Amino acid sequence: MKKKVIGIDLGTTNSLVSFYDGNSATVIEDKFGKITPSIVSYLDNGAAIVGHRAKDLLKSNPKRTIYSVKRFMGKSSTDIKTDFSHLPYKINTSEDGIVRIDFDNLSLTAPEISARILEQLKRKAETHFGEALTDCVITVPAYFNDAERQATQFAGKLAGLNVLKIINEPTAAALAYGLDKKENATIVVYDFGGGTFDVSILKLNDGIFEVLSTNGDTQLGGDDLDLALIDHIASQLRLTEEQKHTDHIFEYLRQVAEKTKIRLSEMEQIELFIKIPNTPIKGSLRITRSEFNEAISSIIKRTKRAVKQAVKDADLAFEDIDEVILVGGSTRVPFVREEVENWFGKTPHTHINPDEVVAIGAAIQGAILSGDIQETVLLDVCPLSLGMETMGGVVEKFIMRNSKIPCYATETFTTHVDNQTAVSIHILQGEREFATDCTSLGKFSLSGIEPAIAGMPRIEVKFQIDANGVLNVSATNLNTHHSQEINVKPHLGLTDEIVEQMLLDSFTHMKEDMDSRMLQDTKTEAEAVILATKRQLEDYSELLSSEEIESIHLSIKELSDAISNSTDRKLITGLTESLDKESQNFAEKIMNQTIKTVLEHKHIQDI
Amino acid sequence: MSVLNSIYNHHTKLLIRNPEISTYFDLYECTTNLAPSKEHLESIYYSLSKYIHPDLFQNASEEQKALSNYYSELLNNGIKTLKNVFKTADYWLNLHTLRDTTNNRVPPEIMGHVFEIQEILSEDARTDDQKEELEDYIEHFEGLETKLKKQLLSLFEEHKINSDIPNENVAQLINALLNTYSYIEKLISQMEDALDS
Repeated sequence: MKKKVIGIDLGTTNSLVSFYDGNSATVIEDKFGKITPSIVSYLDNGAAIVGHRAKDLLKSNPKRTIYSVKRFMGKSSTDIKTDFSHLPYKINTSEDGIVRIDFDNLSLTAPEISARILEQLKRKAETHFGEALTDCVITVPAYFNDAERQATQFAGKLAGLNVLKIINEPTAAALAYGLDKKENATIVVYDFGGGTFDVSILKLNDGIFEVLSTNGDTQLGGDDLDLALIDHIASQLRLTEEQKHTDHIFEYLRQVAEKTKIRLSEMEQIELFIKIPNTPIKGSLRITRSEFNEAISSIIKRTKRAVKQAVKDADLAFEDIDEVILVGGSTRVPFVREEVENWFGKTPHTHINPDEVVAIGAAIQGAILSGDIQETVLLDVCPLSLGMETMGGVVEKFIMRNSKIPCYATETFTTHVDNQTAVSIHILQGEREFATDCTSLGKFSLSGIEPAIAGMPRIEVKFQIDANGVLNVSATNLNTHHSQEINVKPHLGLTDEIVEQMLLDSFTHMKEDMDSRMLQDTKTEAEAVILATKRQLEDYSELLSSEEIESIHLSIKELSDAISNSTDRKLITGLTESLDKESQNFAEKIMNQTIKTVLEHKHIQDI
Repeated sequence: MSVLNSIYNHHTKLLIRNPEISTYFDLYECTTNLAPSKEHLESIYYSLSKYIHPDLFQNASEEQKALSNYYSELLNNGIKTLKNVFKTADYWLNLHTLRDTTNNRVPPEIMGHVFEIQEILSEDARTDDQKEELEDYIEHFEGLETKLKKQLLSLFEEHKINSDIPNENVAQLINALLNTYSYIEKLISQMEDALDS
């Protein structure tokens, strides 16, 4: 039997998990729905709460509740150029180059936090199928660089997943839309998500999905639309910069802005009444859609620049595009849709839910890998050029952006002084001319060169980008034919020891988190039973004797105390069951009474 | 036998290691014509991709995975190279270790222009007139590239060039032509960067 391969859309704001059932791809749903918010909240004992429950903790536990962690995947301290002071949690750009998120007693990297989200999605799929699942396809923004892709793969590993393939989000969307289409077409996918923007141009040719070019901005997304709106609201309220950036004020405004953005997608204008708790800040505002459009127009212009470049790189013009696909929650904003439609003169496809389309594509790619779908193949490209630092800090590119993958390039190195035994190589990714403006993927040294006259040794270094877009490097001494694999440090400064420790920690935390989550589930269920019983008491207490009422009140108190003070899941489950039993007896009495009331005053022939 | 049949067994659906398919010319069936048409290249590219892409060998043996990767790399690098006659010539000379980039001085025919261009490029900011001048130069040099392309194709035809080892005189002529092209290409790129900034 073929192994199941799940598809995962690991988004900045929300994540989804999907599968292909032999006929179509479906997003897996649990009691909270299809979407799992990409939010992780760390409790005092270090355990992690993920998703909807973590979202509920954003206000009460802001410094330990992490959202938009995807923005930090694969980033080193030197990459953090955007101002993240607005985030309620603390970003630590340490001297060792590793970006960490710090709170009281914990210091975690982005892959470790993302791993919690992936674990949750894995569990969601496992609960759905009732079996253990490990094989998966994870989507990433097309414009993710090698470090960002490797960080995603690493997060998957930490979550106990076997990441068969990393695919680009716009490509996944095209797969979702194009599965039944076998005719030729040129497609543009405009993917504006919560925290990233991507555009890809694809050619569909008899079951082959060929990516022609890709472009984007990994630091631009729906969050930026919210920020633009926060600035607008703050300026209307005449808030100072200091006030605006106060943690709880900012969080309040962020939530208002998010809701306003959604409401303005349906209404021309909205009225807001703002009253920020524990502050004198309050006021009534009216925000129109055109004010919102104006606030975000510079952001949409930034996306157009990337679109133009992608079209140019594909050697096409705007009028050559046959189909336009919109992906990502931010494309629900009417102004975004109108603008894209104007650029291409085509009505964009939006019939697949933009929140789900990437996950659906990931499941389809999973089915291609497992062999469930045949005669469809995806030909992808690398989004950024790869090069190395040469004299004067200039970058010499050896694999150009939008090269079809897998691909390779070779460079031959030699020594510059007599008896030199090592050559240092600095690998970079990006389009800029100077090393300082590109992303450093790693430095390595070709050592063990036999002492010889300068220029005599010849070492051929092969740079390979695999079908996942991940870089592998190997070197061969052309004189001795001795080969060696080179490890280009994948996790931006994380040593092998740290990586090993993280893997160990992930297994330890998995147990803690599982316990925590189960306890949380038990408490939620208990609260639901208490609430239902209290409502019954309010409406039908006359059906019970005073002893029965007292007994139920006592059970409610015992269970409430256990919820507040105990971490003993068995105790809470036992108390819940006993209250539930009492409430069931009560429910029977209510039912009997209801039937009796209905039957009263009716003749037998009316029934 | 088509190239697909020589590297892929349709019955077993397995790839075959074929030492005779080791260059872009072998894979794209153009050993006797180093400047194949775009249609010919794309037809081979798509038909092979459907059988050899690494995604199709996810559950295969390590050897099959490595073969799939090897042929896919050859296919992807090959189409990029063979679609461009300058890259093709460069690859061909490199294949026979005859590529010589040591003579990369400014081509005499463009020497005069180069001084003027460098002067404009060295400015911190450029006037609209200077930008227009750069655009004119780009157009002029792109015209030169087209001429070089024609010369290269004529050399291919005149000397009945195939994928075998070239004679040294022909190699020398092509090396000179490629060096001029490479210089012009770099200059155009510098001017485009200056205009973009």
